[in-house]
Amino acid sequence: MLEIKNLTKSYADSDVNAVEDLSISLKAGEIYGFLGSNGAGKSTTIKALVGIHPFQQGDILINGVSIKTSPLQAKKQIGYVSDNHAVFERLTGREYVTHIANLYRVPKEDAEKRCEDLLNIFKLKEAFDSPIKSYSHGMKQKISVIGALVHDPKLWVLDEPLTGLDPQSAYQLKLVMKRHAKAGNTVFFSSHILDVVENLCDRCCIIQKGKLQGIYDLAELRAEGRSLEKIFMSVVGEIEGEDI
Amino acid sequence: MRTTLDLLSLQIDNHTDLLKTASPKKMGVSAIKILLLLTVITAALAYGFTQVFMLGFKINAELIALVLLVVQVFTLAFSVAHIISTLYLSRDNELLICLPVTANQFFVSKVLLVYFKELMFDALLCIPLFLCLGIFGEFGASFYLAVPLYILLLPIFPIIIASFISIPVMRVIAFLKRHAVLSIIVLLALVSSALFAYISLIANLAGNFNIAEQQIQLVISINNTISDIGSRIFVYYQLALAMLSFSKWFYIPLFIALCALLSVVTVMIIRPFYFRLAMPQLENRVGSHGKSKSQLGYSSSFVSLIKKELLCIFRSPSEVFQYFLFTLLMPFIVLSYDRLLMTVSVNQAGVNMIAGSHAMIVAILAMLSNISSASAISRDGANFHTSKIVPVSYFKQVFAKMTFNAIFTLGAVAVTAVVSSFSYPVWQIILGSVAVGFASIGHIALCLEMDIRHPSVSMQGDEESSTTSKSTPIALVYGLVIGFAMGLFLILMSSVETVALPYILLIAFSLIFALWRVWNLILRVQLAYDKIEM
Repeated sequence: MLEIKNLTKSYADSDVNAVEDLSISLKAGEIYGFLGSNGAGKSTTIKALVGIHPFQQGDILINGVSIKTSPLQAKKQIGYVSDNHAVFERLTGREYVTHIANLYRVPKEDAEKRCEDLLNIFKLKEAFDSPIKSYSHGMKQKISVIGALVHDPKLWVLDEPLTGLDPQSAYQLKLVMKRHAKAGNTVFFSSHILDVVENLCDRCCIIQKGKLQGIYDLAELRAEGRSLEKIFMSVVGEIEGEDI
Repeated sequence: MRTTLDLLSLQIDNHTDLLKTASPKKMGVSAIKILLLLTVITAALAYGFTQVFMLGFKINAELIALVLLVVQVFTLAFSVAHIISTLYLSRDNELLICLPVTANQFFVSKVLLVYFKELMFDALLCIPLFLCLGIFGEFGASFYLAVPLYILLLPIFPIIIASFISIPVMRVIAFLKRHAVLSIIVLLALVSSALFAYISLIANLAGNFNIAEQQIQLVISINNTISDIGSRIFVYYQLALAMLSFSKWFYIPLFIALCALLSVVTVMIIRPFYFRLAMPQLENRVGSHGKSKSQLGYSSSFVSLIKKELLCIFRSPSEVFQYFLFTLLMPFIVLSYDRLLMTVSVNQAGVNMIAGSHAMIVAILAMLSNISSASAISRDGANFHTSKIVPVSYFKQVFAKMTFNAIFTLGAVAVTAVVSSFSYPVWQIILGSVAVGFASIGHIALCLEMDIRHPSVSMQGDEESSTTSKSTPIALVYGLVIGFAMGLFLILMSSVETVALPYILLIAFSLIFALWRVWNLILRVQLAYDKIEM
């Protein structure tokens, strides 16, 4: 579903590669966690993957379509929720979702059906016709998720999606992520919350200073009785796996 | 008191660079800039005064009293705006209220900040004005000693009055904020009223343009009116008398005492209203609009992009005003300009030159209404990422922004053409408008290209993002140059026998310019968009 091949990305104002020779492959129907400490290169990778950042080397294929050579075809298959939940705040929720649905050329009936469903899950119906600027942080995150899913993307990418959400909203979001993966799509998200990754994901990878440190199957880790937290700490060189 | 002053300096730091630690070199540059600005204003005023006082106007206590009153009226207008922006709608209220300060310290620091802003404004206005009045009136030491004292005192009265005016104004603003369409209608009504008054004034002036015969009578009449009004405005008349003679300086401590008393009373009255009006601005309210079905409208991606631009701009009355000011004003300014020019008798070449200058005004206004395109990308703020993730080509997205701006500019040019067709031959107006239209398209493409290449895309949302960009001043200069060049071309070609030839050439040049800039935009948009990293 998603194949990142030898991705290398550096910024114009820096000599250091923000991401270096990163290769990962995601299967259809799986939830994949993307871990790393602050500044490890998670957001850079995600932004390259969704088409925000150009990159120097490597390629990113979504369902076999390269974001580099066929960006429009690749973007049609991606839904993206940014880390800052930036949405056009002067629009109402309805206007925002309509706008996004139109940009992805989603048939009206399909868009309405998906929207209705997500509004019910997120309990956002009452505020749907209010300007987004009046929304709380969590509500902005939810409308951003509805916008990202209105075209039923094969690959759903989320950058730090659970940061700042209350337990109820976090639960609703995790529920939608699971449902989306169960329908045969892929969910790829970055997070600092190791517990969430451990419980929600099928697989995860850890990057440090732009380089891939390891790929882990969460079911295998559970079977082996290994803790993701210990692995993460040893990878980032914090402690030698001491129990808390 | 120390805490209040700390709060004040924190806010001044946030609003200006004045108190920030700067190198002596930077401070020197700032001082030179201020001195230069004051010198330019003084020189311009001195030139104006030379022209006016040559006609026989008197500089006396009554005139100074009137000047003081006018300064107060200007200060009052700015005070209302400053009180609303500093006290009630300031974004730092939320932050400052969380600091360990009392409500009184917080409120007084805000009031002092308003006073500081008015002081700066009054100093910039009064220093050149009174310097020129002093020189032309040949006044003595009492005048020049009173000026700095008055600069300190003059903001107080307007702030007191503005404090009371701003309470109902804030209630109206709070109401209009909840009704965006109504606020735009009110704004348009206000602009229309101002334009109507302006047109009436110009029509009057145009009717009485031959002023020379009535000059003496007019000057005597104006002098009498000034004396009459000046002596009636008691407080300012006494202050003016004190400026002319030390013997009348006893009015000044009386004025200070009056200001102090009124200030204390005002602060006591306003304070409770302040917290009642300012605090709700910090609250989030999400309303329900009663619709329950999630029906979504359907349109093509291009139409949707234009709709989005329209909604985002028209939901902000200040942006409507900022971006469509020249579009709205264009027909009115051109109409009044035409009425003035039509009063001047000239030969055929003169008529052609007048048509050229008319085209220059239309072209400059059209270019000015394109300036918003120079921040069309930057305005999206953090939402710009949407442009990069959606499966819509970058050119289509930019073309939607271009179309949005062009609809309004070309619409204004068309309305102006209809208005102008009563004053000029229709063929001339049509050809001129076509040329301006093409040049506008080229200018919009140029503005967009500049913003795409050097955007100020911040990490803030559209509510917080800047409404200008680094390219705005450059786009303004290009616009003025293009407009000026078009008019100048027609004026220089006014002696050509085939009257239509200059217009046909201008259309050809404008078309080439438009094609060149649009082609450049098409070529560069992909690469430039790719380079924008956020």
